[in-house]
Amino acid sequence: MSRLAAVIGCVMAVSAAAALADEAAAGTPGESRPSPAGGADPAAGVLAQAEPAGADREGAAGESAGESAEDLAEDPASPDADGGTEARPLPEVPQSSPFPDDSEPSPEPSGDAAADTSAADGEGQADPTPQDPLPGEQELGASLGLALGGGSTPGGLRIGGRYYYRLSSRDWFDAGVGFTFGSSREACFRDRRDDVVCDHGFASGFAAEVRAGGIRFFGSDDTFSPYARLGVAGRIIAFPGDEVRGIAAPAFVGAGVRARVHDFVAVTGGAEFLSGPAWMSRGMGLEPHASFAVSAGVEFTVVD
Amino acid sequence: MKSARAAALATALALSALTLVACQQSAEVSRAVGAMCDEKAECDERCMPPDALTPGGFCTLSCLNDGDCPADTRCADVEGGVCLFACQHDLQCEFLGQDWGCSEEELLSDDPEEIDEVEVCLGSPQ
Repeated sequence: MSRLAAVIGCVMAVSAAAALADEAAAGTPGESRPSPAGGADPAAGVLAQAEPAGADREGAAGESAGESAEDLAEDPASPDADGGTEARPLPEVPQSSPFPDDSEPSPEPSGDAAADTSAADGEGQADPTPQDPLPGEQELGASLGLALGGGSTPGGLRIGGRYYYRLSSRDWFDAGVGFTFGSSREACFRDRRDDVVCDHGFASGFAAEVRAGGIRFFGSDDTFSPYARLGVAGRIIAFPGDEVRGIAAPAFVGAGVRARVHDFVAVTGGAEFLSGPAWMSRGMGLEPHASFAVSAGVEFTVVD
Repeated sequence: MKSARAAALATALALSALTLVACQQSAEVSRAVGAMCDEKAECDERCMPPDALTPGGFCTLSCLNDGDCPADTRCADVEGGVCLFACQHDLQCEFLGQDWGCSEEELLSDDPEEIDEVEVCLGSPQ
């Protein structure tokens, strides 16, 4: 069972890593991919200009972006003017963006597109709109779930707290704390070489952790947003029944779905795989540390 | 972007390898039967402390017949009945230590009239 959990975790890790790689590859201008609703990713902004009005840029910057696209479509220099699908770089047009990195100076717009956009956006800056799937700059969350451990890895009831800080339209800094509570059943023994071996079950021991990493939302509408996360954690481990303690420095990958239930409230569900080295007491030394966890939670936008 | 994908896959493979290593545990001995011990607290039920019969100490379970013992062990009439690893020759007992060998002991069973012998791992007489 322990091996099944590990295999599921590994499959999830590979999937998440591949998804991240795909997204990174798709983030270059010239590739046609849907942009997040209401998002203001710079690359997506260029793409939106090349699409007809009514494409999925309707939202935070919907009208202004749509008008710009129409204007550009009439321009012979526009990629869509001749019906071609090849996307060429266009003059950057300021978009409504709640994100600091999206408001960086861009090449000076020219022609009607620039004029229309300036008229629609004012200074090119706008507050987050209700259509933005992630309206704030910071978020707080809490989660409850189950972690599968085994060997020298604690497992059991898992509770956690999270803090998100927006880095771009889809990427957030992800920090948090977590606690895992399992049984205190004794499971360590001395093998015939006099080495201490621990064979704890799936839900045994205790762990407290702090973590930091990143989370990316792949949402294409303002209701459901699949996500992937990865990062590193520092853990304190204890198996009270065996008087074994230790520390671990694992990496984690995870994926899940987030659904908004209110303008500033979302619920989440996801799974996570965590693996890395651990240093244990009682002469055990360096031990592998691996856990698979599922959890559900709620997240709140911090209103500025 | 190929390098990004390759790096992501390499990370996933490394995590998988660590996980496989994590799953490798000793399957021969346990807190129930076979672990070294000096006292009962180191075992699930009972510790036969280190002596000539059980060099290094031996965690075991009390038994009345084979049905009380885990797989690969037999209920031998030693110290009132304990589970010991079954064997056919000394080499099969080497995993317990160099002072262990295969000995013939009386098998404990529910039928008092049934007297049978069984070969189990115990400390070798010096």
